Amino acid sequence: MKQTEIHLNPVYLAITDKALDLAHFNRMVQQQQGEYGASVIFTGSVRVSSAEKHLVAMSLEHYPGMTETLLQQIIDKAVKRWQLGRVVVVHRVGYLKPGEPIVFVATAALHRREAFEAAEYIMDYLKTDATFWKQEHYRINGVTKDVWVEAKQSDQQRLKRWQQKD
Amino acid sequence: MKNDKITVSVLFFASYKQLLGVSELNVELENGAIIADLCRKLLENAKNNEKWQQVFASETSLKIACNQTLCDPDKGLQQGDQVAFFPPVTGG
Repeated sequence: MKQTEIHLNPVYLAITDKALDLAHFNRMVQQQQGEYGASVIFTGSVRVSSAEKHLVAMSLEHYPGMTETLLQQIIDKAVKRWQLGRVVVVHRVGYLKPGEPIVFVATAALHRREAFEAAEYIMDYLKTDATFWKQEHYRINGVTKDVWVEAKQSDQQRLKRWQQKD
Repeated sequence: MKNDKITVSVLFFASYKQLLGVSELNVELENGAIIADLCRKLLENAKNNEKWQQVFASETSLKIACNQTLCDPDKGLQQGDQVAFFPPVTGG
């Protein structure tokens, strides 16, 4: 049923607590691409930790309803700004192990520049606007420690690039 | 007869939810109240509770949404509004 939806609508947006099936989403972007020969696929995953700080898992929560609206607004702006044949945005929530994908953003455009820019634009705004929160679960000397991830100022800085062009 | 009270639902997310130990509650306010009044009332109800002060004192990091749209503390409230308090987002 979802596949039918894709043929009709170039935008696919989902928030899920299931492991992301990257092959499935890759096909979504690249099948029946028509004249949109340039596609860019970005995947963000849970880091596999360094030795001193052993990250065992990550929990992701979001604000159901508001998150979908915000993501749709970001996608709408990207679609207005670049001519895109397809946009796929999928974000994971729930309990994730190191190495598991968190976010999948893909764009298909007529030429690579538009596809790269639109994918980056969507990711940049997703980072600063979309109502998701990460908590990292560490294991240090046999003791579990839960740490809420802090927002980065550098993510806000990145938006200037897009705002200057507006 | 005109009702002089309104009830709004309040949501907390992420570190705030964990710190306060509550995700959702209903609050009765005077008709015409703004979000700053709601914050004051929540702080009064949680008298001497540092945790609540910690959340509502963090003006730079406290984000507010009314009916799932970001807003400022001077936003007026209506009966049945949903107000959410949360820290800066960290998805992606």
